[in-house]
Amino acid sequence: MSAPRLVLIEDNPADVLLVREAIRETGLTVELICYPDVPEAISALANEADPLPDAILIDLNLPRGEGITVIQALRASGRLEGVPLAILTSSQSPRDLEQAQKLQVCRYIHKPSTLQQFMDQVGGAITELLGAAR
Amino acid sequence: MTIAPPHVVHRSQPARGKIRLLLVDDNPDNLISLEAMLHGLTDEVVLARSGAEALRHILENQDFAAILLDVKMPDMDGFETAELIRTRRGNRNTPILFLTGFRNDEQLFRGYDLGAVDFLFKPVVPEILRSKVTVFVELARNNQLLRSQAETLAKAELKFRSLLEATPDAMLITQADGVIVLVNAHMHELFGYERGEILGQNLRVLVPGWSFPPLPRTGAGTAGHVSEPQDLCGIRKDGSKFPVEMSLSPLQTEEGLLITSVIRDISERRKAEESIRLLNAELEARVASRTAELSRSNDALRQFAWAASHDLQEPLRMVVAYSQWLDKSYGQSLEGPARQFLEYIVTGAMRMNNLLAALRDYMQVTDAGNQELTLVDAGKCLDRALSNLQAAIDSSSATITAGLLPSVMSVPVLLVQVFQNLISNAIKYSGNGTPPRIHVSALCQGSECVLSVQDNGIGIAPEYHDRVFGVFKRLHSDGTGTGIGLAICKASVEHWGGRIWVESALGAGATFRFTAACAKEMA
Repeated sequence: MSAPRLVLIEDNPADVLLVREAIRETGLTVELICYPDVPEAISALANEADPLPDAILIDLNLPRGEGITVIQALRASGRLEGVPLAILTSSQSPRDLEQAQKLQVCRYIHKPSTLQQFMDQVGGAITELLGAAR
Repeated sequence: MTIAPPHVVHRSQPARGKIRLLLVDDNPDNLISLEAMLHGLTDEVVLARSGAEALRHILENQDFAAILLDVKMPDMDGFETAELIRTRRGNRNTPILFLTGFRNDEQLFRGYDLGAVDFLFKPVVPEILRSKVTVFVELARNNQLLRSQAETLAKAELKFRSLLEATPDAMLITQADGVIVLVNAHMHELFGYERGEILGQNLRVLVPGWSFPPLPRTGAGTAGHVSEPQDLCGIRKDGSKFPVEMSLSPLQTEEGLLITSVIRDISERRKAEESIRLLNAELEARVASRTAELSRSNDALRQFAWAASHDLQEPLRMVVAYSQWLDKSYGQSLEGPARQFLEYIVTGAMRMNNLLAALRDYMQVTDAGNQELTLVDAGKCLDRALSNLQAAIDSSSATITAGLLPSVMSVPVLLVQVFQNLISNAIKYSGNGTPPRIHVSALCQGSECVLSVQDNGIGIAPEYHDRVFGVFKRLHSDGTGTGIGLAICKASVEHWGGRIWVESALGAGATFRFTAACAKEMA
């Protein structure tokens, strides 16, 4: 069986690197597919030819559109039904949290400041997401 | 021996002159008997033994109620004396009664020609004498009374006149229909009309709005009552208008109802009022614009603080995470000073991270202005605070006790935060080696409750008691505090209208107290 596919929609390469490290620390073998902005993510995920990801991790604050729009677009297409979706954000705004809750995302992770917290929280969330997908 | 008290010694007499009689007869016996007959009738009887003496008395005191004059006297007889008396202006009307021994028509006619009012025939009958003299005494009394009443009236008139002129206002006396009968000099100053021009005219020429009784208010028309002042418009002789204040005072007289109208020029007062109004308006506008300015700059500051605490967080997170990653992965392989440098970066970044987090907390409190105050169970808030602090309490072996806490007007999250910050400080600044003992209590007086957090820690010197509540004010540079915890407490307490202060001495523990309104007095 092939490695689980995790889509990460995140524009900051430093954060992508931290997520990669967090996955490495979990010891899981994961195929990480990254999209740096909203249109690219939407078009790639809408492509029927590609296999569905096992989980999606998405930043809210993205160039060329907000992460929330991606989630709404994905939900509307119906194609990604059943794919667990988590938000990874640095936003402190209660409005973002409220919106995310309405869209019924699995996890709402606030990007932790320290390295260890990031590894623990993001690594744990990914383990959970991929576990739920199985 | 008795001495009369001084105030009864000089009892003042009614202000009237004495009623005097002048008796003139060359025979002293006659004079004495006449005086005896008239005893008690007048205040004083003056006796004269000759015409010359009589004239001397008249010169000295011309005011006699009547003169009894013997016709037959040596040197100057009664008629000659009467003639001379009559030449004096003041005695032209003094009643003269002639005394004569015999009826002689020629004598009678001469006597009446000289202005005699009566004749008395000798021997004089006392009753007749008394009754005739009484008439003239009464007449004199009445004359005197009239004169004194006339004087009083003249004085009253004078007083009224001087009052009329002394008042700073224009005063006009009119009939009930407004026709002017009397004015004072200020009328001329105010309206420009001469006295003669305005008498007989209607007051409405000067003040068109004049009416009696005064129009807007009723009940002011009763005699003797001054009406409430009315603000009306006055018109000068030249046609110019000016604001006046007028009060009316009606007086019922024999000539009918007269109305005194007191008119005051209130142009200056109006000007002053207007300028005060303008000043007030200007002041209000200035305050409003200052407030708007302050509010704008406050908003700008808030936005700046928001940007500082939120937008700086992202790049800082990178610095923190990657400096830690660098330290973790390559720290061991770095040479001495390079490793030290990296440590400084890591601790500096962490410190900044903590400060920004504290600043966000502080802003959350200061932005709590829109959070409504509710009755909050302080005991429950303390429990929440203690559970948040569980790790710190366990690791410091702190003993925390609490008395009965009331419900107070507050915001739950803020009250939790205040307890949490105060207790966290108490733990942080406990004496070295001594486990912290912290007691939380409340004392309500009336509608105010004082909540206290007491510790046995290192205490705070009195000179720092105010400073500790400032933003980023830290007394210790141990690196653990952010210098914002007590500032958050102060902002929170002030949000619900309370006060916060500390009672402490260095080395003697500290008691932080804050107030909040409580619902009812605690038993």
